[in-house]
Amino acid sequence: MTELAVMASFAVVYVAIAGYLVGLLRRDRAQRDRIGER
Amino acid sequence: MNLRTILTAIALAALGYGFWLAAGTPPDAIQGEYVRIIHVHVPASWVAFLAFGGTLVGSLGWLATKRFGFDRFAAASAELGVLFTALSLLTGMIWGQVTWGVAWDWGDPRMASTALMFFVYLGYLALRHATDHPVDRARRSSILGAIAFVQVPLVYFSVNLYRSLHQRQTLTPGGWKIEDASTITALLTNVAAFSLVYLAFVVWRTRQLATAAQRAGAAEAHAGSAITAPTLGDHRD
Repeated sequence: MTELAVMASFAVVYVAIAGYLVGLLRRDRAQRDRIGER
Repeated sequence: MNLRTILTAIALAALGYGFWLAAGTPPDAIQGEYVRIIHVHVPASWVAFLAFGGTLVGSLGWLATKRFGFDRFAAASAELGVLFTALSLLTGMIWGQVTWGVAWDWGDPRMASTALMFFVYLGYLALRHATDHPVDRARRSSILGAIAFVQVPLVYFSVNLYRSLHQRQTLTPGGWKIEDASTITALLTNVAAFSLVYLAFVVWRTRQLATAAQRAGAAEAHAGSAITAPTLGDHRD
């Protein structure tokens, strides 16, 4: 239970940061694609 | 390589170093292994405050200068503030469950005020999405962004003002004493690493919002140029 709680706390934070980073990369790519279309 | 890529690489490296330091800290005499949660909970809470401070600066900057760069910075900062407040609440709930036996208590001033702050800034983001006109959006959200910051010191000092289940501040005189030097080093490293993550992401997101605004402006100008008043002799086949 102890290890699970500590691991869950770290995992939720790092996954959220990674998720936000992936979101930034995807938006960047979408913006580049739209500029390429014009 | 651009600035945001360099900043992100440094931030991620710092985050990895912070994790490595946190993994090497000894268990606390009272809290045991659970004390390690401090290395993500405290930095997430700190970055939430920092980000809402950024929203305040951006909001006041727009109100004073009417420059949209401030408005975009305020919006990017609020997004990150909401994200890190959610992380602070989640990690706090895990910590609460294993140390106090309850994940949530509405009677606790720190928990209740943090939840209120989370929903107010969620409302700030909703207000931005609900307003189409850029000037109206900037004006309304700047006023809310400036007023909403009042909550930040209230959340921070809530543990001193009222009897609370939550312990007092971790790194202040009179707060919770951390005896172990390696724990303090790891905690401060993680605070710095999370701050770098905020800096990298806010620069990146502000830039994206600027690109989106330029594109929207160009599209509006293009649509406007297509609707022109007919003039005599202006006939093209």
